[in-house]
This record gives sequence, C-alpha cells and structure tokens, in this order.
Amino acid sequence: MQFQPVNHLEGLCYTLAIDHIDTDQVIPARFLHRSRSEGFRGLLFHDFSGLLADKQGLDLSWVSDINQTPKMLLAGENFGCGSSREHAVWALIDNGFKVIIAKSFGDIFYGNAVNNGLLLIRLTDLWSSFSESLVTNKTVQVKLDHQTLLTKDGKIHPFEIDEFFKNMLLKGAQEIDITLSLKDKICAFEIKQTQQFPWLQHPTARIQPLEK
Amino acid sequence: MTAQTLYDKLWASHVVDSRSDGSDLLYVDRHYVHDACSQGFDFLDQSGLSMHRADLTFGMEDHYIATRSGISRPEKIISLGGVLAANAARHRFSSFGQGSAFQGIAHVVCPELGLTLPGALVVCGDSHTATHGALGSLAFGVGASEIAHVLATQTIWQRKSKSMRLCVEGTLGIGVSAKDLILFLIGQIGARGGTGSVIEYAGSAIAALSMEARMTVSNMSIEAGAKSGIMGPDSTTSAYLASRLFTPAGQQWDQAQQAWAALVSDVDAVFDHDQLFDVSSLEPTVTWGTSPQTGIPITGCVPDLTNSDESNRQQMMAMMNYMGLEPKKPIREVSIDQVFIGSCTNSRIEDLRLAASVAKKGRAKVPTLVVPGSTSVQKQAQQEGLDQIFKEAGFEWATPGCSMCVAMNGDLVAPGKRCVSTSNRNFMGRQGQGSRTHLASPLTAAASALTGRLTDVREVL
Repeated sequence: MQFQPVNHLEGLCYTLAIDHIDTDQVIPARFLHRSRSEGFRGLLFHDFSGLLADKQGLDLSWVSDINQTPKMLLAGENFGCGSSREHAVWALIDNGFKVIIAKSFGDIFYGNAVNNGLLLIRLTDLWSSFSESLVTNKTVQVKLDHQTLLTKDGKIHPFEIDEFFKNMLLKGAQEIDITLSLKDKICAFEIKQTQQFPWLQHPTARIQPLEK
Repeated sequence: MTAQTLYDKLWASHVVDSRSDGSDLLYVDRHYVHDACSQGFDFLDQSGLSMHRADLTFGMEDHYIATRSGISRPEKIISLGGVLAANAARHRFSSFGQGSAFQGIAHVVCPELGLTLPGALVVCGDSHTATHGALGSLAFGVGASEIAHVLATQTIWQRKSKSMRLCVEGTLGIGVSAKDLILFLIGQIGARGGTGSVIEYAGSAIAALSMEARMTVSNMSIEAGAKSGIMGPDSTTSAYLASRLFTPAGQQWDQAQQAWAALVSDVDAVFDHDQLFDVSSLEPTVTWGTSPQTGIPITGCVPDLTNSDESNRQQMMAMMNYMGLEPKKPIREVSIDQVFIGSCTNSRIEDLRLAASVAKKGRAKVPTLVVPGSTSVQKQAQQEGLDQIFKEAGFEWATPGCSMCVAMNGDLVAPGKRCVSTSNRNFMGRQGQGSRTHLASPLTAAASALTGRLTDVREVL
C-alpha cells in the first residue's frame, strides 16, 4: 500500500489529555469486520467520545469533522496501547487526522501508523509547554524534515524521531517493494535455515496429512 | 564475542538483511492468521502479489467463531470464517475452522500442535501473539499491512527493541497462580513499563511454572506494553513439546534439543532494564480499573485518592466512575453479574482443572461461561469429567474460541454489567459496550461465581 509522503503540514491540534487511550477506545471491536475500502468515517472514538461527553461534558464534535483536515491530536501516555488492530490507525486517518502527538505510544500501533503515513510524535519533557501553547490557538505547523512543531505563539517545539520511521514517512511507501527485490537473500536464508533448523523450515505432521 | 541475551540470539538468527538506518529484515518461521485478518489478504490481492510460503502459514478461526448455541451473530460476522477458509483454499495453506479437529484459539492451538517451537520467529495479527514467547520463540503481534508483507515475503522489517529482564523469585502460595503473578508484574512496571522493550522472564518462580502457566505470563506481556515476552526453553518446554503433532521427530528431535539448549541469555549478558521481584507473599490479584495495571490483592481496596495529584486523581476517578466503584472500597465487597473463564490467557487444561477444583465446592450464583481454548482442551476436560463438574455447578460449558474476551462473536457482557474474567483486557467496552471487567485468575473467577462477588479463593479451598 502506498500513501502520500508526509513532511510539512499545518492544521488544528486537539487535546485529549488522557493516558492509556487503548485501541478499543479508538475503534471498538464490533467495527473491525469492515474492509479498508468501506472505511471508518464517523467511527473514531465511537463509544469513548460518548463517555467523555456524558461524564466529563467534553465537546468532541471535532473527532469526526472531516472538513477541518488535516487534524492533529495531543494525548497522554501510551496512546494506542492494546490490540494490534490497524483499524485504529485507519479510523484516525479516515476522520482527518494526520499527526498524533503523545507522551508515548503502544509499540504495535506505532508500526501500524508508519505503514499508513500517520505521523506519530513523542513529546516527553516538552509535552506540557506544547500543550500550553495550544490553549490560545490550536494551529500547529509540523516540519518532519526539521523535526519541529511550530505553534502560533511563535514557539518551536523540537521532537526526536527514529530515522527508519522518518525516512519511511518522507518517502511515502511501505517496504514491500524493497523487500521483494531482496528475494535472493530471502531464499538464501531459507537454504541456511533448512540446513541448521530443518524443523523450522519444514513443519511436518507426524501422522496422516492434515485436513484442509 | 560479547555476551548475548536470549532476545539478541533470537533476533540474530533471523536477520535476512540489514539497512544503514538500523532496521533489520527478519525471517518469519510461523505466520498464524485468523478470521479477523481479512484486510491483510485484501492488501495482498490489491498489490497483485501471491504468498511466498503458504506452508509456514496456518489459519485459525477464533475471533468471530460461535462458542455457544442460541447467540445471534450478524450475517457479516458469520461470513468471516468463510472468508478465512476461502483465502486458505485459494492460497493453499492449512486452516482450521468451526468443527475442525483443531478448532480453537490460535495462541492455544498452535503451541499444542507443536507448530510454535523454541528458536522460531512467530507473528500473527493479534497482540497476544506474545503468548508463544513462553516456548522460547520470538513472537509478536502485527497489523494488517505487516500481515500482507509477511504473506508476500515471509519477512518483516523491524527495529530492535530494548531488552528488559524481569527476574521473579519465590514460591507461589496456595490459591495464587501465574495469572496473579503477571497481574502483579504489570501493576509493578505499569501498562507502559515494557513499551519499547522485549521482556525476558526469568527466575525460580518462572522456572517452576508449567508450560500452560508460562503461556499465561507471556500472553499478558503486551498489557505491560511489551510486544514480546520470552522465556528460555528448558526441560519443561521439551516435555511439553515431545509428542506434539508438528514437533520434529527422531534425529531432528535430538538436533533440536541441542539447538534449544543454547537459547538462554549468557550469564554476563547485560539488559537495558533488569528488575528483581519476590512473589512468595503474593496474594490472589484482581484488577479494579480499566487498565491492566490496576491489579490489587483480593484482600485490598480500590485506591484512596486523598494524596493523588490532580491529573492522576482525575484519571483514576474516570476509571472508578466507569467501573461504578468509589475510593477505598474493599474489593471483596463488590458484587458481580457474571463470570467468564476462557481466552488465550486462561483457557488451557490446567486453567480448567483449577476452575473445576473450586466449582465442585458449590453452585454458581451468577451466570458463568466456561470456554475451552481448543478442541483438544475441550476433549481432555470432558475425559476428566471437568465439564460435568462445571455443569453441576451451574456453569455453562461452551465450544472453543475467543468468545467473551473480545466480544466479537455475539458473546457480550451487557452495558453496566460487571464480569469477573480470566481474559487479558479490562479496557472500557472490551467485553461489550459499557461492560465492566475485573481481570482475575481461573481460581478467583470460579470462587467469585460461587459467591456472586469478588472472592478470595482461599476462603473456598
């Protein structure tokens, strides 16, 4: 799957200052049967936003407002923890989100995001000052190549990002084409593996062939 | 040569290619696909690619499969098992669905079949793939794009994680099991304590666990944020694997024993994080909140927020509101509506034996569902008469699948209802919209079923 390269973006950054927003909150399991082409518009934070609105009186109409794209989200610790469902990333993208900023992210969610061109930015020490910068104006300018977030108060908030992920996002492509070009190396590995650990390369049932 | 951790060894033995940006292309020995992975196959088709190694791919219908009769499932859901079967037929890989001799949860069945082996690299589109790390394999969950990549190339690009060792010493007390141990560890390091790391579990308390119990521990590594939770294979591992369907036989078995003996962290290996725990005085542990890190002793109380800082207090209050609990409430005073015993965490034969040992002491006061993890567990339990014990205690005995853990097959906890569950996640809405989940061991779950409230199993034993 290809996606648009990510580099410079400007948009509004909304805040959910909550830790451990898991992928069940991002997209409940009952929507996972949908195909990628059916999409996930209007399903982002489906039950979660209702809970936040009911219990905490928050207005979350921005969640599924796709006229505002590109949107960004600021969250707390461990955003996207839990399940490996890539649907969580798709739900964010389909509802106009291009950048998620958080104190930390779930590992599997992080990999899924990169594979879809969703930029994830970790802010640790600078999280609070960035959050404060959003209070008067939510507009943020992201420059991935410079690794900076610019807020309307004139502050530049630098961030760190892994070179591997940065390059993938700047190029806008998944790795599959590169990998397919390495077929000789994969086949050579399989020959070596067959010699060393044949049981890994050729799982063989001890009794009659398996039913299909 | 510098000393290596088990993780270093597993990683190094799977590197196909390396790039200057620090990423490695790793070979995947086993790829398990399930009925909620259909998008990965869609991507493969859309790219016009075919599968590289169908013979290393195994399908398991588990997420959507019906586990009891009389539960209505939408047409779309019913069709998804068929989608997996159709993909299996088209791409020619083995797949096990409803009514198969191997029907069950991927993370229960694949170790049982000897498909998961020490030294293997295992991926599956499910975060609880970490389970397989208990057998000394490097196993982690992947998303749909990665599934498509693995289907097409049998490899995956990865950045190496940090290494974390959790050394667990001591002897577990009566009524305390692997589930309590892992809930305790998650509480100690936190739900993101393992993020960016691969955990290696070590120490006498881990060595003393059965293979089934070890899988319970590795399974929940992801609830501490770690993609993988590995354990060095030992005699327990070999004994478990010795007679499995796909375990190497004859000379290859002997070769494998030698290879597996090398799968240990070197004595002087250095970990990025290394922590020691003693579980001798550990009590049965249950969660009170909507994060797996909220484990407390069954004799304990919902936290007192008097001295919490404002941000922490708000988040804790939000959890308490959702769960219908207030600060300082003794957890044993909390009444429950139902019990679920099952899931890739706790649906193996040993789990059911533990649950049955309690079930035979009374009768369920609340609806209790027992779902074996695999057909072989189901049959074994029936041979041992465990199903009869459950039925006599008023527990419902179902057929294998993920069932009420992920609530995708129509087995739901109703809004506002409180369930004691042996599964792995207590997230808001995990067991159905508005559901309230308390994670617990099979012993605690069965004891709670008999009393209708969260119960210290030691009162019953």
